[in-house]
Order: sequence, then C-alpha cells, then structure tokens
Amino acid sequence: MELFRKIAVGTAASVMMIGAATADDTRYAWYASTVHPYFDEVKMGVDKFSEDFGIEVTKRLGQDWTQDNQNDNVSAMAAQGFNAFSIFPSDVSGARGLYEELAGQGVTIIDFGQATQEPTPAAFYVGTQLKEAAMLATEELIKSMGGKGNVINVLEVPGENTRLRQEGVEEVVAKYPDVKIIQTVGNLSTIEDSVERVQNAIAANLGNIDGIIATGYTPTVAIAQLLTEYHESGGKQIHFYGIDTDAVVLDAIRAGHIDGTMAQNPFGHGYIPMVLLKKLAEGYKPQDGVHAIDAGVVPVTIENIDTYAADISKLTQNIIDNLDSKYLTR
Amino acid sequence: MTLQLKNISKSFPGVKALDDVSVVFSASEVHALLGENGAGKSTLIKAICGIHKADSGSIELGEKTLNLTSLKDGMRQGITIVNQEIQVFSESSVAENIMIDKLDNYRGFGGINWSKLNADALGYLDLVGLEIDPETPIGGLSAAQKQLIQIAKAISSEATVILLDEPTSSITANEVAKLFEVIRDLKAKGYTLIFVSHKLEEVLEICDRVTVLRDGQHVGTRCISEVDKQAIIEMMIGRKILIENFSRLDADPKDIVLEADGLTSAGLIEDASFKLRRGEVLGLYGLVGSGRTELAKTIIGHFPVSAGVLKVHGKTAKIRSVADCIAKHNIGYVSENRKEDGLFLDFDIETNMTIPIWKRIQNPLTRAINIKKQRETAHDLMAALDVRATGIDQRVGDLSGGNQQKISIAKWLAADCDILIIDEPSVGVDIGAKTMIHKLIWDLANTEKKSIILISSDMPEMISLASRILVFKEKRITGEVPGIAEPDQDYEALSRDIGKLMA
Amino acid sequence: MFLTRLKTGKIISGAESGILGAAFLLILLFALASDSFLTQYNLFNLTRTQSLYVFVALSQAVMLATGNMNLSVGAIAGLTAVIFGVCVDTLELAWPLALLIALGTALFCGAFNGFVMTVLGVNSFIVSLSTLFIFTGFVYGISEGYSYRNIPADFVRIGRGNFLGLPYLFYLMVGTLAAVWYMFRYTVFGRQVLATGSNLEAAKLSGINTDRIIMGANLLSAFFAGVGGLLWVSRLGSAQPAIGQNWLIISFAVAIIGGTALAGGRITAIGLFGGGLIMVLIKNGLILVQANVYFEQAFLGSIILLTILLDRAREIWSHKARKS
Repeated sequence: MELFRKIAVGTAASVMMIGAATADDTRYAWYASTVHPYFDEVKMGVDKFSEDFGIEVTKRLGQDWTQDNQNDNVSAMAAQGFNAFSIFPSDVSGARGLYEELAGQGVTIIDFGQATQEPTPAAFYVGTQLKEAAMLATEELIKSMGGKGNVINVLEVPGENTRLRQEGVEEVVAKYPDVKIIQTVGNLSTIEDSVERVQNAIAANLGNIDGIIATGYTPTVAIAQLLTEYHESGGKQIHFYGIDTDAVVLDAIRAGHIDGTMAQNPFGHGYIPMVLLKKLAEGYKPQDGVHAIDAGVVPVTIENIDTYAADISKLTQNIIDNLDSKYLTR
Repeated sequence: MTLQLKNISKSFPGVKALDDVSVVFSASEVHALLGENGAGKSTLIKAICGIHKADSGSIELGEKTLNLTSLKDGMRQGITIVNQEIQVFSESSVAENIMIDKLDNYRGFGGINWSKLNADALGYLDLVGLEIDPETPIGGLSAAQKQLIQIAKAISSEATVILLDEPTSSITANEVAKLFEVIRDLKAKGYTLIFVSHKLEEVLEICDRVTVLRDGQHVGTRCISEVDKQAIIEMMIGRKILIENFSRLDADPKDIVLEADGLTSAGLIEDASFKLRRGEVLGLYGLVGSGRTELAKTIIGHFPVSAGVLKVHGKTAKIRSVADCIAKHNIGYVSENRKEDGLFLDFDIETNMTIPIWKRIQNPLTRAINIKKQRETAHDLMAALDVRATGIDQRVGDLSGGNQQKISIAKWLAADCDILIIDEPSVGVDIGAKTMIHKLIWDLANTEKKSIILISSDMPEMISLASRILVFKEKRITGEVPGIAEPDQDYEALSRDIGKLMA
Repeated sequence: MFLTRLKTGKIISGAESGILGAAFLLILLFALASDSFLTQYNLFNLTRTQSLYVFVALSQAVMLATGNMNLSVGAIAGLTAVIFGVCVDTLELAWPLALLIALGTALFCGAFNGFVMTVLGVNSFIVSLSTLFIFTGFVYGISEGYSYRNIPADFVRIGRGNFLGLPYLFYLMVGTLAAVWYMFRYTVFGRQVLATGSNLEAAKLSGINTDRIIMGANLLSAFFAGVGGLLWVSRLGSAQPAIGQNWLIISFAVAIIGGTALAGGRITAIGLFGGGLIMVLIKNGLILVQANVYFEQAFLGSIILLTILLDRAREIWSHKARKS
C-alpha cells in the first residue's frame, strides 16, 4: 500500500515536471534558511511581485542554517511540483549538489542574498556584491574621518564572503596614504564575541583609533551598541560604518554615535529574482556572461536616514527597467 | 615454566599487604593459593600478573627476572590472569575476543582476514573443549564459557603461567567438572597453573600443591597429599577454631523494634518474615544473590515493597526512599561495597562521618551546618572507634579497609540510629581490624542496645556474632539457627545446620 | 587567625592558588607586553566580561558538581533575554516586574530540565541537548529574530555603570561568588550537591534525596543562566535573541579551568573567579599582541589546554606528596 502511494506521488510529480517544461505551468517558490529579520524584508519584495503580477509564490523557511536542512526541504518542495525557485543558499559551496539535482529535473533556480560558488546551475545571483559594498563603506568611512587616520577592520566568520569583504576594505585603504589599518579583528560569529573582541581591540589601541569598519551584520549590531556606550561615557570620537539597517544601528546613527551603515536592498533581493523567474519561464535566456546582478547598496547617514528607502526602491526599479537590455535575451 | 617469587613485600598506606613472601610455582603443576580475605592473596596475584609493583623482592620466570610494569606487560611475558571480572567485549564474536590482541597478524589486503581468524580461533576453542561457533557474539554465553574463552585467549597469547582467580565461584557443578578437565589437560601440556579459590574441596581435588598466606605472610607450601581440609583451615586461620568468644547478648524477646511480615520485593526477595529485638544481632546468611542484601535494601526503601508489611517500633512503616528511612525511622545501612556506594572516597573523614546529620546540625536561619559540632562529632567518633588516620581531614580513599569500614559504621552512629544494618563488614579488612569491628558490633548491641542486622557470607563471623541466624536460599528465608553464644551450641553442628538450610 | 587558616589551606586550597597563580602570571605577561593593558578602559571592560563569564560558568558548574551537565544554558539565557525584551519593549511593563517574569521563565526551564532528568530518569546530556533545541526554538519563535531595543535606562545602567572604577557587574559577581562559596562550604544543600556528584549511589544510601538535589541544581543552573542573559541585555542596551549562542563551550571551558570536576563532586568559587579571569585575559591578550585573527582559535585552545595541563600536573604532584 505504502509502496503504491509512493509510486503514485512520484509519477504525479514527474508528470507535473514534464508538464512544466512543455506548457505554461510554472509554479513559483521562495526558500530561505530560517527566521531572520533580513528574510522578512526580502519577503516583502516577493509579496509585491505576487501583487503586481497576480502570481502565487509559495514561501518557505527552514528550521536551521544547515545545508542538510535546506536539501531536505527544497527537495520535498520540488517533489510537490515547484519548478521555479528563488533560494538563499545556506552554504555557498554545499548548495551545489542540491542545485545540480534540481536542474537535472528541469527546475530553474536563482540565488538571492548570497551566491553559490561557480560553476553553478543557478541562472542568476541577485544580491549585494560584497566586495563593492565593502569598498563603498570604506570610502564613506574615510570621508567621515577627513581622509586620514587609523582604522580597525572588523570581520565576521572566516570564509569566502569575509575574504571578499576584507579585500574590499584593504584595497580602498591602500589608496589613501594617510589611512592605516592598525588592527584586524575576526571570527565574530556571536554578539557576545563581537562585543568582547571589539572592546579588546579598542583597549589595545585606545586613543589611537579614528575609525572602525564592519562588514558583517552581527559585529555591526554589537559595535553600534558598544560605541553608543563608549561615546556616552565621554570617549574620544571613533567613526564607524557598518552594514545592514538593524533598528539598533539606526538608533545609534540618529543619536550621532556612529556615522552610517550600508543599507542593502532586501526588497530587490525578493522582487528581482521573481521577475527573472517569470521571464525565464516565458522563454527568455540569460545574456552571455551575465550571472550576478548587483541589487545595490545605499549608504545611510543622519542626512538620509528617513528617506533612504526611496533610494533603494529606485535601485530596484532601475534594474527591472534594464532587465531586457542588460541581463536577458530572447 | 617455573615461576619463582623471591622475598616479595608490598605496603599500602596503613597496611603491610605482603611481607617477605617466597614461593615457587612449577611447570606442569596446579598450585593453589589460599588465604582469608585480607591475607594478601589478591595483592600477590596482582604482583604476579603485573598490576602492582612489589616494593622489594624479585619475580623470575624460567631464567629471566621479570620487571613487570602492567597487566599487558605481564601478558607479553607469558603470565595471564583469568577471572570473573575481566571484561569481555560483549558485542564482539568469540573469535574476536580470543584474537583481539593479535588482529594485526590477520590484516590482509582490504581488511581483516576473517575466515583465517575464525579458523584459528576454532583451534583454540578445541583446546579448551568448547564446541561453539567462533562467530557467536560472546555476550550471550555463560560465565563458564566466558572463562574458558579467556583461557583460550591466554593459550593463544602463548601464556605459560595462567592464574585462575576464583574460577568456580559462579558456575555450575557440571561446568566445574569440565573446567577441571581443561585444567588437567593444560597441566599435562606443561603449563604452570595457579588456582585461587575459597572452596577447599576443589583445591583438594584439582591441585598438586597448596600455598597459604595469612596477614601478608607466607604460612607454608605443602603437597596436597600431606594435608586435609582441617589442616588447611588451621594454616589459614592460625588457630584451631576461629570463633571469637563473645558472650550471649541479653535481648528481650518481647521488645521488638522491627518486624517484617511477608515482605516481598518482586524478583528480589519473596515473603520474608522475621522479628528484630532490641539489643540483638540478627544474622542474615546465604550466598550472594540469595536475597539477604536484597531484603536489607528493601527494608531501607532502596527497593520497592511489592507485598507484605514492615513495622518499625510496632507501627506500620511505608518507607519510600532511603532519605525517608533515615529521617523518619532512624535505620542505618552500612553497604557491602563501601568503595562503590558506601563512602565518598574523595572526601575527608569529617564529611563522610557526618553526612546523615547535616540536616540536624544546621542553623535554621542561615542554613549553615554547624561546623564546630560537625568537627566535634567526627573527633568523638574517631576516638570512640579508634580510627587510625592523620586527622579528621584525611581523605577517606587513602585509609586502609578496616578504617574505611569503621567510618561507614561511624556515620550511622553519628546519626544515632537504633537499628543498624551492616552488610559484609569484614570484606577486605585485615585480621586485626576484623576483630575490632566484630567487637564494635557486639558492643553496640550489648552496651548501646542497638538492634543490628548483620549480613555476612563468612560463617565463623556469623556464628560467633549473631544471636540468631536467618538462612537464605533463592530469595527466601529457609530457616533459623541460633548463634554459638546461645546455650549448648557447637560450631560444627551449627555450620552443618546452616549448610542444610542452604542446600 | 585568618593568616594561619590561609596557610593551612583552609581558605585557599592548592588548586585555587594554582588557578589564581596562572591568572596572575598572565596579567604580568600582558602588562609587560603591552602598554594598553593596564589602562582604565581595558581593566573596566576586562572585569566586566569576566563577571559575565563567571555567570555563564556558574550555570554549568553547579550542574557539573552534581555529576550532570546542562547543554541548554545558552538557550535559557537567550529565552530569558527575549522574554525580558517582550515585557519591557512590547508590553511596556516596569523593568523590575519584567525581570521577575524573565527569571521566572528561566526557572521554569530549569524545572523542566530537572523534571525530565529526575522523574523520568533521562540522562542529563540527552535532556539538555533536546531542550537546547526546544528553548532555542522558543527564542526565535517569539522574537522572529528581531531584537528588542527599548530597554529602560535604569536597567542599562547595571551593565554599564561603575563604582570606584570597577563595573557594577564586578561587585555583583563577587557577591554571587561569595554566596556560592558559602553555599558549597556550609549549607546542607551545597554539601549534598557535592556528595551527590562525588558518588550518587553512596549519596542515596546516605539518605540524601538525590532527585531533589539534582532538581535544585537545575534550578540554580537556569537561574545563573537567566541572570547572565539579563546582564548581557543590560550591557548591550538591547535584548538580542542571539544572546547565549556561544555559551556552551565557554561554560564548560571556564568551569573546568576554574577547577570544577567534570565527573562531579568539586566546585570552587575562587577557582571560578580565576577561571573567568584567565579566559578574558587570554582573549584580551591575543588581541593586544595582535595575534593572527585566523589562527586565534588555535591559540585560545592551546592556552586553555596548557592551563588545564598545568593544573593536572599540580594535582598529580600533590597526590604523590600526600602518598609519601
């Protein structure tokens, strides 16, 4: 009996997939690793897509950040007949096995948020270009420091992404002879670690620090809070640029304790991949050599803190307007 | 090969375990090693097989002087011990258990050559007369079979000296006969066999010579044809009868402190009924597992009561836990395994002695234990029981067996228990301490009017101390005999009666 | 009086002096190696982090003392922080009330762990591994990953303020350790915890209600975890659901460096003080001397191992001295 059921389900699934490949029977899915504020914002972009085009998208969250968990859940969704996925790969190298399997079944995948390592079966990657974002943030920081001084470079957990960010920061600093990285702090996976190590780094260079740059979410939240405390208790000003717009970080910008943060475009990370999936289903193909689509970042400072959302919307609109000319071909 | 021990001495803190012992164990001989608990037997065994290093003296095997550093080293030199406690790898097959130390020899291309290993194992199984498939998991085999497998393993490791430590203690008569066949066979093949046992009949049957230890000293080595059972016992105990002369305890038969009626704990003790009087020593005698310790642990609430009634001081008592038992009924239990579940070896004497009274001497407001009172209690008890130690702050694990036992008892005296259950008080203590502990138990009953339940498998101890003895067999009480202090009793007749009730 | 007791090891034992000695050595080393070490800013933050570590370690050490463990300490801390956040931010309750509710939640978690361990008789490793996931699930279920920002300034002052140059948290830690010291030295409960951890069977046969003791240790463990979580909230100025994520290893490391026996039966307040101090000193020192960030964990692990090996060596040596 059980065997019968399995065969029946399997057959039904394959029929659906064949159907999808031939007819206009695309079923859209969005998948993210687990609960996180970032995904909430991405989801808004996905919802907007559904609203704009009247297309239903099934949205799922996993139970944890592991690739295993993602493999199980996404495979199950594919078996249910979903054939157009926008996925946040939990592990940028580990996700490839899953993707290859899905691609073999004729499923279209687009990475959002972070890119799987190439070569990848994913048609596109839509997200922040980490190195470019890090470079932009560093430029902004150096500007706020008046073009000279000592910088502490704060990195998140070691890995491909962190390496790109570190390179970005170091390349920009190298352009300015009067700016020096006096310490690099790394391996900050948790909030407690971040607070402790950054505080240690400040202590190690006390009175000698002009700026701090952080290119990861957790350290940014930690530093925003500890610089708030530091400046409130009368410490000499330390400039800071971080990444992401956690409410804690925005509070610190408003209160003038930190200079700014790089707002990513999570709305675009949600909206753009869905539009691309739709276009691919309609028969469009990626242009040669085009894979990564930079959804852009916007520096947020005290000046634009209440208006930056509009700037981000503009980024998304700009990309959508140029899809046919820059990224897709018929 | 001849194994020669020359002037072996070994001391532990507080006790001289071996004192200048010299023995020769010859090839093609089964040599019994005898002695009471605490005579130094197990220390000598450990020295022979490499677990302990003697303080002085030498061990020679054939022409070679051995300087063993570990059990493994001993095995490498050809000395192997076979006993009940040696771990077998119960999930592994018989063949693996035999060959575990030789797996390297069977490493072929792509793993272990199992068929060759099993075939070789079969050869060794033949040697010990075991007809079982070498691929059987060892866990399901009987104790006797496991023992034979250990012997097979010893042979396979090219042992020349095999120590059999209490090999018959938990196997049936048929299996004993089979084991003895194997032993005789090994003897004929030229092995040196050392046979350690409490069962003198077996010693007389299988052994060629017998060596007796007492108080760490070598009493003598005799050919088996020269001695009989009585002579061996005399060598072991050093006097004709080892009965201590305690006078009769005067307990009022109507003054009942503890009464059990049909007490049962399913699978452990069935339908036990007895009465315990104030100021008497009531003995519980029987083999390990016959129900005596199980009854004790049921009384104190460690095992659940499934049927029957227990009355303490005439009132029905429902004891749910040991904590209950002490708090509400003041019954103390001195465990038979003082090192495992009786004492806190890492803690000092003071702590060990006062654990049950902490609640009574705490300050209700600060919740603090009255340290002054705790110290006084420990000092008093140490003096009263003549505990030999550097002070109340000495670690209990560093004390001798006898002193540890005194502390196990002292803790219940501190708690002022009027009913005291004492399980195997003289296991692993030296002879002097044993006498002192007996005196202590008797005094507690006689002068302090404590009611004592004594559990022991040492018949002389039981007969000389107890006023009445309940005999256990297969989870039931099979009868009652008086102690020797009662009028018109003699040791031989009593031990015969007890033997009958156990049979 | 005090001096003679000190000399005879009645106040500071050999193990404790070893730990404090190692900490002192590290202080000396880093003070010589870096000018930045003895600055007011660094000392303030060092002692503050040490205090937090001590609470983390206490939450594990009281369980270890009974011969059990609690893998869910970080999750309990996270849950306490989130509940506190919900109370003061979303529900806008007064913070002392929120504090009570949050600590009540922590105690409930501890009671749940204890219940499964004692009444259902499940091994502590399995119980707390499961509840680690359960409590973490609640942390994210309730917060959805968002942090709570409106933390009352009065409450934040606890984690940020100072008295005579040392953080409030430092005094809180010293007070707590004093209470712990007193408990394990003088009170029946504390002594029974140690007896239970030293030999469970003997403790049972000595009339100790070991289930009650293990339940009590679970409650204490959860309480310390909860306090630790709340103090992090106070220090950060926001209640982050991620609080507690890195506690598991730290809780064991600090407890063990601090002389708590993994097998149970031993805990020392002075040792934990030293253990927390050693941990912060190592981390602080590595950054002060600009150790390579990618190798940092290897350095950290090696120094922890070295500290423990030194302690083992001292123990073996003292054991030999006692025997002869």
